[in-house]
Amino acid sequence: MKLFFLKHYFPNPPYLRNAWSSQRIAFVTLLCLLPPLGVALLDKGIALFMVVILSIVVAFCWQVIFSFVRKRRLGLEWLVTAIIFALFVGETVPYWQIILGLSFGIVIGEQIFGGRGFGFLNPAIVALIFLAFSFSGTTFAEPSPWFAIATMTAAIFLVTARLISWRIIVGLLVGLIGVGLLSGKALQIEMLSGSFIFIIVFLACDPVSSASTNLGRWINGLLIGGLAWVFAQTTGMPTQADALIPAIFLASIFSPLIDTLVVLQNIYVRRRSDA
Amino acid sequence: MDFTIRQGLDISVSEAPRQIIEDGSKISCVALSGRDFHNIRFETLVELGDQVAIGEPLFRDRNRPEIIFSAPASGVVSKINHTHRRNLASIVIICKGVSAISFDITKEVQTVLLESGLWTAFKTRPFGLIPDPDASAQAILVTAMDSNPLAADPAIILQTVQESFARGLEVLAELNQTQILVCHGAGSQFVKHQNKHIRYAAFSGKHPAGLPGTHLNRLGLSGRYVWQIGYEDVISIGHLFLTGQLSNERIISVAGPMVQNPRLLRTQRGANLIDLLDGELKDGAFSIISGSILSGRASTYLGHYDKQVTVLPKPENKSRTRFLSQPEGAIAAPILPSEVFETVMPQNILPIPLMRALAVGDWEAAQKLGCLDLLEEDVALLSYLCSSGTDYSALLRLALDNLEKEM
Repeated sequence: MKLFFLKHYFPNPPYLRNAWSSQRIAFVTLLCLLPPLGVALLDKGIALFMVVILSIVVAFCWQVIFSFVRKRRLGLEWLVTAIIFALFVGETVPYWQIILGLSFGIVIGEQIFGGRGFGFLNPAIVALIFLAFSFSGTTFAEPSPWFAIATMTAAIFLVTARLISWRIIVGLLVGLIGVGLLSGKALQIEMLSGSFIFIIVFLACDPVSSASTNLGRWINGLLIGGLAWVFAQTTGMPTQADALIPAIFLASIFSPLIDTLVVLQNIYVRRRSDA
Repeated sequence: MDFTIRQGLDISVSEAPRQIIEDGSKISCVALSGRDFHNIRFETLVELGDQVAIGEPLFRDRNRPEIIFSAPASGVVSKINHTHRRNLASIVIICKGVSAISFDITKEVQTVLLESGLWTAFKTRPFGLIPDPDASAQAILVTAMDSNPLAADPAIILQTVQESFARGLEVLAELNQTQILVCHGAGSQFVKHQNKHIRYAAFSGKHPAGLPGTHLNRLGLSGRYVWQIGYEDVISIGHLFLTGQLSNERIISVAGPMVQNPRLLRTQRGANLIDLLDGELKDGAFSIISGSILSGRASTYLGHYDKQVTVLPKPENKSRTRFLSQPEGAIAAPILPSEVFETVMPQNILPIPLMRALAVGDWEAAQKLGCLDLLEEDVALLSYLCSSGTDYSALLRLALDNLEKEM
């Protein structure tokens, strides 16, 4: 808990800054990723390990290139991207596809906007979507229930530290249950996949690729939940990575629009109350 | 009227000041700084070596010559500093004797306030400027509470000067014939005035529950032309109209990680803080902030509007590996749009769109998003929370100055 109360004094304003620098956020996210990564590695062994190492090398190379050109610090965000990507891409995909997909995700999904925090997409999601669309038959890895349990602590920590928004999580669940009820397909407990919590916490709630207003976060969550059913047409499992990841991708494309609409609504409301 | 502010954040910086008033050390010199006022071209009215008494004009606004800035202490003008654009930076007076000018308080209230320099205690909303002499506000907001980290409790200070404060409020009511809104902390004991112009509103909650920007919003005055004034200046106005002379006294909170015995000290307006802090500090390098840690400014003199002094340890230059640190000339870090920002914004303003508009210099968007309802201190918590290290207060000031020019 001490992490919350660390103080940093600076010689120029703001003289006091929150302990949550972007570096520390990336570091904490990385720590949160370690338990599920460990579980997955125990499950799948050396095959997944090779994929993780390859992804890390690819992400590192791109980060070094862009950091050098842009004169930016290296950070740790690339490591987060690489691990998330590796966990879902699965150990059966050929290495050249992994290199190609991750490169596309990092360059087109993040670095052309200026790096983490400047764009509106999550590079891991873009990479996975690229693979799914380019090479038919690619399905995302489905981890075991232990994976979900390993993610729980991280989920609770990130929500209480307000690093991720509970509004997106609740919105997503409401959307999932609501749209399910509307279409007559009730969400059953057997439908929960091992990666469900992980995807929500690390991908759906990524602050960069989701809406950045409170109302927008609700809409964003609802949208993901609803879209998950659309992408679950074939399998009927809206909580699986195959349905959720395209849903999150589409929702993150819509998130700037959602924010713009929320801003317009806010301007309208304030103008009326001032008049 | 009672308001509870749900949003906010109380940062525990260090030991809170004990709310007892003691006399501060003797002050050898005071200064009046031009940097405390925005958008003013100053005209200096004294020369080096001049003898001045408390209340004597030091400089005035070139465009609005009625607006006078008066000497906070009696003594000799020892330094006149200029900014790089040849505007006045500050005037330093070496304290000598105690002589004060007597003002004719039978004149109109507005004239007395202008002549004595107490007019400069008002700040307009929007923009935070000194109001024009011929303008009249739709309301005057008296802030009698302070939710800043390590702030003094105004209720304690007001107990010692009840008479002056009451007279000050009467004078304000006389000045404008509009409503005077006294915003105080919930539960603080107040002798309330029976004057049809004076109304009271109690606020509770975490910081920024004590800022005028928050009060304006809850009182339904967003978008109106309002003046704000701090309790300490109302006391000064009351003192002036009771005695005919300006008081140079200020009671401030002295606190921060480097202060041995954080408490309230009685000192002078514009006091030299090195003098004041003599014997008060722990060992080690320090830096002095006049004002709160969130919205204050590094300074060796007490600022015109400041009610507290925060002493921090001097930040050491961390030498990190070049590998991870940001090189010189790199572009700014991004804003990570987490939901924590919404929790410290009591106004119906969307913090992240506003922060983005300010960061890219889109003043028009900032205006649409409601930046005219805010002053620097209202966005200080956003700067504190933002991982990019951006100073939104400074950006907001740029936005306000630009928008004001266009109007």
